[in-house]
Amino acid sequence: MVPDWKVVQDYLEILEFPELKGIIFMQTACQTVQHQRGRRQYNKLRNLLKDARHDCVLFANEFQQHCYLPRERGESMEKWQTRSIYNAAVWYYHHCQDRMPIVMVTEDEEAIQQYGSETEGVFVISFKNYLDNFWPDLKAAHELCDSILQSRRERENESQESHGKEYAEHLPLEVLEAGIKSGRYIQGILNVNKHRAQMEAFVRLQGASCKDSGLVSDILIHGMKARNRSIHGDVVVVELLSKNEWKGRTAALCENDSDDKALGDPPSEPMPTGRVVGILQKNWRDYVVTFPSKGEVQSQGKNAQKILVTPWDYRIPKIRISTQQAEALQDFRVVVRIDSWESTSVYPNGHFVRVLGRIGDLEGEIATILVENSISVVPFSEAQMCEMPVNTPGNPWKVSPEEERERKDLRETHLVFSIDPKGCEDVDDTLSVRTLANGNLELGVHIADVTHFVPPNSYIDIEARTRATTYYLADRRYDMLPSVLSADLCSLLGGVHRYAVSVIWELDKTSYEIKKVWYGRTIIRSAYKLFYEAAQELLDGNFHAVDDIPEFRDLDERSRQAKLEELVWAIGKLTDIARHIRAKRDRCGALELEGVEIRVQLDEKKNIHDLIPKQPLEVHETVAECMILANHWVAKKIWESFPHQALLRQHPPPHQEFFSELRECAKAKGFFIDTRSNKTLADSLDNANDPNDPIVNRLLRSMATQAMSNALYFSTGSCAEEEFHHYGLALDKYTHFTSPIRRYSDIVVHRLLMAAISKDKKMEIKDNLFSNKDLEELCRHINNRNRAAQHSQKQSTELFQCMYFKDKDPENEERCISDGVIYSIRTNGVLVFIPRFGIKGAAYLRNKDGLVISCGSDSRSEWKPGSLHRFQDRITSTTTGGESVTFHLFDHVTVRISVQASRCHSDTIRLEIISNKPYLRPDTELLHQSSLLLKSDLVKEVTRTVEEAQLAQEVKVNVIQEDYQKYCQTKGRSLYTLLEEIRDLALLDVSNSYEM
Amino acid sequence: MAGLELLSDQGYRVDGRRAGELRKIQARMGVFAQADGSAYIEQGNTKALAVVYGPHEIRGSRARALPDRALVNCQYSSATFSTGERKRRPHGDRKSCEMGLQLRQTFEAAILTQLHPRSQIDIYVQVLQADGGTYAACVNAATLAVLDAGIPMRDFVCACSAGFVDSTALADLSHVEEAAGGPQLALALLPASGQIALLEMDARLHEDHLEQVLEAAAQAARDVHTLLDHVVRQHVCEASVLLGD
Repeated sequence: MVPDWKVVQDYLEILEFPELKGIIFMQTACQTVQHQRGRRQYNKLRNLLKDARHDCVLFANEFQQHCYLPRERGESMEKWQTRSIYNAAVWYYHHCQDRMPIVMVTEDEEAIQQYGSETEGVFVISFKNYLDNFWPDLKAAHELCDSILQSRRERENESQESHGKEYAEHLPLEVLEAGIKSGRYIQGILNVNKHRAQMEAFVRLQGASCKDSGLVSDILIHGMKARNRSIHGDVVVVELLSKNEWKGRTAALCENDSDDKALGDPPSEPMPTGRVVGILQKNWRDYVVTFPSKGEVQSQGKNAQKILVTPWDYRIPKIRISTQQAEALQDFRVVVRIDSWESTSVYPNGHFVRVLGRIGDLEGEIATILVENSISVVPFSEAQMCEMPVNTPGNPWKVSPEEERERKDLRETHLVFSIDPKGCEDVDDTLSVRTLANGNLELGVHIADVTHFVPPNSYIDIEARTRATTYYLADRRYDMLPSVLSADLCSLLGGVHRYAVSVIWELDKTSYEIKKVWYGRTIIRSAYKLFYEAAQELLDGNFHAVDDIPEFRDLDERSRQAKLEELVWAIGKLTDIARHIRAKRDRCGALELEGVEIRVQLDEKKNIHDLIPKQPLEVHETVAECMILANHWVAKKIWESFPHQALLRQHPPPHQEFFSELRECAKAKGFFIDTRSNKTLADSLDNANDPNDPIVNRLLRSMATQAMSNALYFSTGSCAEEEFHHYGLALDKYTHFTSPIRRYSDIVVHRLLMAAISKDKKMEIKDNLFSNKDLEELCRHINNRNRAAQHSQKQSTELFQCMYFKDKDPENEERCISDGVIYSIRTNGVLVFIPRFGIKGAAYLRNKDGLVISCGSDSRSEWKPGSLHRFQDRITSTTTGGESVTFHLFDHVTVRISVQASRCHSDTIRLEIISNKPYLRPDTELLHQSSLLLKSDLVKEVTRTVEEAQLAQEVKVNVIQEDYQKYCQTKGRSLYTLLEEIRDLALLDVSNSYEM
Repeated sequence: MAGLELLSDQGYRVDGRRAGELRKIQARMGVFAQADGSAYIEQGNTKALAVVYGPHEIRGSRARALPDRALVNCQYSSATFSTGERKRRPHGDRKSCEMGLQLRQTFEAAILTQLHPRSQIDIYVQVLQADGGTYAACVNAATLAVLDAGIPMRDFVCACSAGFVDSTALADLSHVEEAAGGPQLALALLPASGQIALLEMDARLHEDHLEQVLEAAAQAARDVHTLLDHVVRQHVCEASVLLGD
C-alpha cells in the first residue's frame, strides 16, 4: 500500500496500527509531513519506519531516476505531489514485474478519477474505501478514522467562526529563539502542581538559561491564562513578570477539587513569576479520560456533540471531544488524544481513541495506570516467539557443540551456586569461589547470557528495547523477555547446563587484593539454588536448615556431609571477601548511606523490603557486594574499550538546599545531620537514632533519599569524566550488568563487554554498537521507562490500598484506625506516615467549614471554631474556648483511614486525626510482626474480592460452574505464588526508594 | 516547520546524494586563447573560471623577485551575481584576499617554482556561481589552468570539502549544508603522493572525529583527481587531433 501525502498527514495514527503492514512511504509524502506538520509528527513517522515490527519502508522516489517528475508549469504543489507518488507507485509495480498489485490511498477525488483505471494492478482508492475493503474487521481503526474525520470537520467549522480569543497568541519560533539567546525569555519544562492544577504550575529551568538568568528556583506560572495553552511536560518559553507581580506558592494542604478562594492563607514569600509566551515542544501523549455522567451532560447544554471530558491525571486540563457515543461510554475509562488547542478556545480539542475498561474495575484501573505511564504490554507476537529457542520435554534444549568449544567450561571445575529470595524464577546471577593451585583465591560472578539468545535488532530485541525493563505492579508483572527465556533458558537454575557471562577475579590469599581479572563467556551448571534465609543459617553454622535445600535431599549421609562442608566453606569465604572489599571501599572515603543502599539492592533482587527496621541478613550484603564489584569492574572495562559509547550509571551529588527540610526535622528531635559529603551524611544518619522510636530514623533516611536525585544511565560520550561518579556507592564508575533478564541496560552492557573482549583479541567486532548519539537517546528512553515503571508501581499500590479500604466502614472497622507519625507541618494540616500500611498522606487540622481540631481530656478530637498557628517544628490549634492542642514533628497520633472516591480520577486515601495520643493496639506484641504480611494480605484480599466478583458474574451467565471453580482455583494458586514473589513490592512508597 | 534534515535515516542528503558522493563535475581546459592557460569547472552548481599567465618577468616592483624560485601570484574574485544575495564585492576585500592567500599557499606547494627563478606566475580565479565548496572549485579550476599553461607541477592539486553531521562525514558540501553551521573542512591533496597541500578548518570538531572527516575529504579529493585526469587526457587528445598528429 502506498499512502498519499494527505493520508500520511491526517491518518498517521491509523497507519500506526500494528495490523497494517507493508506500507511504502514515498519520500514526497514524508517531506510534506516534515514541512507542514512539524517535528513531532515527523518523528512519529520516523519511529514508525524504524520499527521493524511494522515492515514499512521509505522509498526515496525523488532521488530515483525513473520516478522523479519535474513540476510542470502552473501545476499546484499538491497536484505535483500526488502525481509523483502515483508515478512512483506505478514504477514500483512494474519493478515487481507486474506481479504484486499496489494500492495507492489518497483523499484527492480528482486523483481517484484520473488515475483510478490508468494502470492495471495499481489501484487508487480513498482511505475510507481502503479500510472498508481490506480491513473490514479492524473495528478500532474504523472508529479512529471516524473520530479523526469528525474532529477535522469541527476544526474547519471553528476556524470559520473564530470568535473572541481566550489566550494570547504564541510568538513565532524565531522570536522565541532570539529571545532565549538574548536572555529576555527563559526556556524550561512545565510542571503542573498536582494539587492545584488550575492555578499553579512551575517551570523548571533547562540548561544554559539557568546560569544566565541567575535564577535558582523554578518559575511560578499562576493561572491558566499565564500558562497559555501549555500542558504538563511541554518545553515552554517563559517571560518573567515584573517584580511587583510576583506571587508566592501556597503551602497549605488542599484537596484537588476544592476552590482556591476558600483558602484565605497569606501565601509565602513571592517567587519569580512568569507567563508562557510560546511552546517549543509539545509533549502530548495519550490521556485517559472519563466522560461526564448523565446529569452533567445536560448541564453542559446546547452542544451535545462536543463533550468536555476529564482526564485522569489532575495536571491535564479538560479536553473537548466530539463524539456521538458519549452516553455509551459513560462508565468507561477512555483513551483520547489532543489534536489542537486554538487560542480561541478555553479547552483543547481532542478525539476518542479506544476504551480501556469500566470505572472501578480492577483491570480497567490497571490499564489506566499503564496508559498514563505510556507502558504498552501486548503479549509477545508470533514473530517474536518464533525467534525463541525451543525447550519442551519432548525436544529439550541442549548446549551446542560449537558453543561448547568457544566458551570456557566451568561445569566440572567450579562450584557455582545462586542465592536468591524464595520462589524466585529468574535467576540472573550466580557466584563461585575456590582456591587456586598457587594458594590464591578465585572469585567468580556468573551472569545469565541473555545476549546469546537475543541477537541485536531481532524482533525480540526491539520489543525488549521498547519495554526497557520488567514492570512490577502490585499484583502482577510484565516481563521484558518471554518466559521461555526469563524463567527457563536464561535463568541459572540449579543442576542444569546454562550459558553465562562471567567475571572472574584472582585475589591474593591473605590481603584479598585483586591480582587479575578475566571476562568472558562460559558454560556453568549451578549446583545449588539457595535462598537467603537458608544461606544465612549455613553461614551461622545452623545445619538443620539443610533439610530445606532440595539438592541435599537425595544424598546419602557421607557425600552429603562432604558437599555440605564444601558449600559452607564457599559461603563463608565469600562473606569474608565481601567484608574486605567493603572495608576497602569504606577506607577510600566510600560507601555511605548503608541503610538506603542495602534496601535498594534488595529491592532490585525482588527481595523483602523491610518496613520494620531490622538488620538485613549478612548474606544479602555479601551478594550485593559481589554484584557491585562485578558492575564496577565491567563499567571500568567497557569504558576503557569504548570511551565514547559505553553505557554507565551515574548518581549526581544532591543539591545542598534540598537537605534543609531534613536538617530542620532532625533538629526538632535534637539530632544534627551533616550533609556536606556522602560520608558525613551516612555517619550522622547512623547517629540519629531514637532508641524509643525506631521510626524516626527511618523517616529521616527516607527524607534523605528524597532529597537526592535519581541515579541515571548515560552514555560516556555525552558528559565529562568527572560526572561519571556514583554518589551513593562512592564509585568512580558504575553500570548495571547483573540483571539482563530484567533490564535492557544490562543487555546493552553485555554486548559492549563482548565487543570489548573481541576488541582485545583483535577480532572483528560483530555487533553493531550504538554510537554515542544513539546510546544517549537509548539511555534517555531507559531512564524514562524506569521512571514510568516506578510510577506505575506506586500508583498500582495506591490503587490496591484504596480498594482495600473501600469496602471497610471507617467508623467501625478496627483496621481503619491506626497509628501515624507526623513528619511534616503545613499551614492547615500535617503530613502523616502510617508505618503499618506504609501510607503517607495529609491530615487536616482545619476542615472545609473553617473549624479547627481540638482534643479533649480523653484525647478524642472534635471540630470547633478556632485558629491555627504554625511554627517551625509544631502546629498549635486553639479553639475560641481557649483549649489548645499542639502537634510536634514526630508525634504519634491516631488516624482514621478512609477512602475518598472519585469518578474521574483515582480514589485517594483520606486521613483524619482522631486522637493526639499514639494508637495502642490490643495486641501490642503483634506490632513487631512484619507489616509485610499485612501488605501482601491486603493485595491478596483485594484480588480475591475481585475474583469473587468475577466468579459471581460468571455464575450468573450460567456457565458450567465446576469448570470455573476449577479455573478460579488454579488462578488463585498461581496468583498466590506470584504474590509471594512480589510481596515486598506491595506497599512500599516508591517515591522514596531510589535505585542505585 | 521542522528543522532541515541534512542526513535522512535512509542515508540520503538533502539533494539525494549519499554521504561520500560528489556532485557532478564537468570541466573544460583552454577556454581563452589569449591566456597561457585557462580552465572552467562546474561542481554541481558551483562554477569557477581560472586563468594563468606565466611564467613571465616580474611585473611592477622588481624587488619582489625571488632569487631561487618563481613568485606565485593568486587573485580571487567572485561575480556579483554568484550568490543568492546580489552584492558588489570590490577587489581586495578581506574574503578574497584570504582566498587568494590560500590559493597561493596551495600552488606554491604544487608548482615546481624553483625551475623558474626570478619570474612570476599569475593565477586569476573567478567564481561565477557559488553553491558551496568555492575553495575546492577554485583549486580544481586553477590546477587545470596551470596544466593547460604547461607549467611543471609535482602533481595535480585536487581539493574537496567535507563536513560532519550526525557522526557521519559528508563529502563535497553544498551551500545548504554549509549554511547549516556544522564543522567544515577544506582539503587540497596531491593525490599521487597523498601529501596535503593545504588543510583548513575553522569550526570546532572533536579530535576523535577529525580522522574520519579527513579521510572522507581525502577520498573525495582522490575521486576528483580521477575525474580531472580524465578531462586532461581528453583535452590532450582533442588538441593532438587539431594539431594533426
